[in-house]
Amino acid sequence: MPLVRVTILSDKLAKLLQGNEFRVQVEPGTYSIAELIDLIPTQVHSIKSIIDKMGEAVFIAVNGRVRYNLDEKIEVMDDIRVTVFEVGAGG
Amino acid sequence: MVYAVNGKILHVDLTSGKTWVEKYKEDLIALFVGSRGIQARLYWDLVDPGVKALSDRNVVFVGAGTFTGTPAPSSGRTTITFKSPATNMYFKASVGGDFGLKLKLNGYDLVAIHGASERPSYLYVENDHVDILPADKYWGLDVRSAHVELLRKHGHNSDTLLIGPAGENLVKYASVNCSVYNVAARGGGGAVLGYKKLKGIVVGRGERSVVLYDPKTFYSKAMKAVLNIMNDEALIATAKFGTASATMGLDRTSTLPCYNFKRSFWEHAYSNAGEYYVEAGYLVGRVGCAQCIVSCHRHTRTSKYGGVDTVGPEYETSNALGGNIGNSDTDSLIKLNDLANIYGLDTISLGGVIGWVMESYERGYLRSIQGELGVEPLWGNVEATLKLVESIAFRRGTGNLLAEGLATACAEVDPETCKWAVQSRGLEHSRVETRVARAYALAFALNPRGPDHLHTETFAEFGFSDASRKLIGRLTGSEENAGVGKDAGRPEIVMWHEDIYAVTDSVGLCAFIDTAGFAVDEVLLSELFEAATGIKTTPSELMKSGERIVTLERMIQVREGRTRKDDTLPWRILNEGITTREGRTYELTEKTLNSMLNKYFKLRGWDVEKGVPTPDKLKELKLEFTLSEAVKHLT
Amino acid sequence: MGPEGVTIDPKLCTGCHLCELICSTYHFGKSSVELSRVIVYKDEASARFTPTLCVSCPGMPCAKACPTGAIVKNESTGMPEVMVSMCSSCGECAKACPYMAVRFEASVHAYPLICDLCGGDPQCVKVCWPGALTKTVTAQERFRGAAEARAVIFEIISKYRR
Repeated sequence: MPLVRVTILSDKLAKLLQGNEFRVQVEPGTYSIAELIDLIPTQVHSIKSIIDKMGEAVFIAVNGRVRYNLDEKIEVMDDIRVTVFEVGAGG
Repeated sequence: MVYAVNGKILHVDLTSGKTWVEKYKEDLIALFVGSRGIQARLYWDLVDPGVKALSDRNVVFVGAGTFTGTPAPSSGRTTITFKSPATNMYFKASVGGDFGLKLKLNGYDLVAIHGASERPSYLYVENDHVDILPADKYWGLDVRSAHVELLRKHGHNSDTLLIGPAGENLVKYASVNCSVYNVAARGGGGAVLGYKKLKGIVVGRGERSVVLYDPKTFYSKAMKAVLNIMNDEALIATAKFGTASATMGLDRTSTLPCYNFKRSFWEHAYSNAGEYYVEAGYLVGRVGCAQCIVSCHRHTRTSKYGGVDTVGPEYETSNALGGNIGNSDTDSLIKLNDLANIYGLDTISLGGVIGWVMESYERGYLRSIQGELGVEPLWGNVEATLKLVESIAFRRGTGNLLAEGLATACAEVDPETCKWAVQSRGLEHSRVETRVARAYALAFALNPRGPDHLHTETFAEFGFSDASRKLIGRLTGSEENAGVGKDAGRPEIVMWHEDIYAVTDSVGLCAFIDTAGFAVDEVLLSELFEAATGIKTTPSELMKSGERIVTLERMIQVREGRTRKDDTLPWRILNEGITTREGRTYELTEKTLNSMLNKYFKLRGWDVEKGVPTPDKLKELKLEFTLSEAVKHLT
Repeated sequence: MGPEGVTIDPKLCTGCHLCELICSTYHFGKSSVELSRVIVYKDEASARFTPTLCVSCPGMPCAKACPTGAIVKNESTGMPEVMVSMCSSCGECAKACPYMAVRFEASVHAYPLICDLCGGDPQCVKVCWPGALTKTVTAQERFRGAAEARAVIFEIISKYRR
């Protein structure tokens, strides 16, 4: 069964969620990114609720590509890597 | 008594082989704050407007900031000033590393390099001992190899400022590198030193101390700055993910220039992002400029491309040699960054040139280049890109023309190609979409360097953080003005940033600390300045000194022939629209730009029609020595 | 006396020198790398850096090497202390230190500089955001870190040997 591995790269988010790494096994199939995120087991708040709250400050990358539309459908056959982070500064 | 600085300038004349020490007085610091300001003042006296950049009459100034060598965090930035062979005007470059710190601890605040040597030489400085030594053994070596060889000779506690083969070959965007991987990249400073046949400077251990006027107060203010930095949300992200952590913010707001400024966002942007370098395991450590606890530089490795272990890539490089040329191969980005590091090349100009080559080829120009490279320079083609870098650094084939920069190259190939040569005044445009980010656009048009960010970067315009939105609110009257795609309040935003940047650069503080993150404000800056130097000041007086420096730099360039016509942006930016991910098209017309410029000049108290500071303004700023020049242009 | 002290983690050092500038200012009121009791070694070309500082070896090899008995143990901090009135500036303590943690440069300062934990509230750890210098939790980790630092220092010294 494919594994969804979620890494939280933001200290702020990791604190809220009480962890930086989460994982869940899912049945192979087609999911929207929002659905996948909802399946992640967390202790306190749901990842989705936090992402909704922080809005544009949060970014989600799936298998090395950032997705802006959480309704986008993904085919899950093999393991997936999800990374969640906030914007930094630079120029 | 001068505190916090040595009060000493080391002059070196490579033509005569003479070196001498000039003592300067405290009032220079009171008026011009430190390195950048003092160097501008010296430039006015020592570099005539008629001087050619690649000549023995150009002078290169390298200076440590007023806070360099003190316990102020992130205050090790060094300023390098010279006349640029790319723009033929005054140019200020900024760089990190340890060189400035070591220079200061050897008893000098800045070095002024005059003349030219007949044979390859390097300068050795250790306390009172100054020597011009033969560099035959090091000429031709890449920066990393030269550094290692020189330290084997002079000891591991020494440090270097070096040019690479690109500088030796007079490439117009050859860099000056400090401590190997810290790069004063832009404007061709490397070519100026290459012309002078100066491989670089080695600075020894240094036995001096920096004496503070009020060490107790300075210490507590420095600790306050340290705490502020550790709690700043932007700096926390930058520490972990580097400057390329700005990439996705720019992608989301459609300010990420890709495919030679044809696109403003990109599906593969994440392959060029700082977070991805961490996620995918490229990052093996972090590196900091002297005194900087943010340590945003990246120590990266890849086993591909023959195996690379290097420092970088920064944001600009990640986009210039990434999305700008359609390159999502992160391993290649690390390799390209390393080549630019060791050959001594500015990655922004390099990316701008290569992007132009790829677009020109796509449009049917430069057809012969395929034979030279053995492969077509199509978008994202790494092999072609690697070969182009070599051809530029060593001036082979078409690389010889490309080494001259876009302005020259496009005119030579076909003036039509200048439409997609994204440069103005001889400098390739930095990596942000100025048709959408309008404060950036105005700052770029006014920048003495050219359409570039590392002089006045209005990062707060994005409004990514609470602190940045608050700042925009303070400067323009409303936080609603934060966010790109807007015009209101841009002159006010740019003016404040220009002034604080001048002060920040001059004390040696990194501009990310007070303009990208907000850990040090004008109040803390002035408290640190007073405790360090003993010169009584207030936040507004210190900002006034910033205004003084900016105005002097303007007068320098006015004397060199700059007019309002030069306050411009590349053809593509002013003549083509750009579409955002939401499908909205932005156009930045000359009319809009001129309207912003008019407002800016009015705010500055300069002559609006000519863009020249008025006599009243110059007197107010104690810049009387520039009066006769201003009058010449205003009558 | 608990496990007070400063622990080094070379892997986290970013080479910024701020610890040195803070240390010298705190102790001397003037700012310098050469007046610091913590010593930073750097190889810019390979981006390898490490600080080193006294980790209070129980056997005090520095004191044993001293011909005039000028080094004693400070009872409140547990750190070696140089009695300058008895110091002959011979530099033997610096040579004896297994962790290259005694700074001795006679042209800069007549006496060896050894970490004194700032009397019990070490300042360097307050500024080391990268975490290369932290307040010690276990003595074991402190010695392990110092040994790692020594390995990095030896590599740097041998790489740049003439």
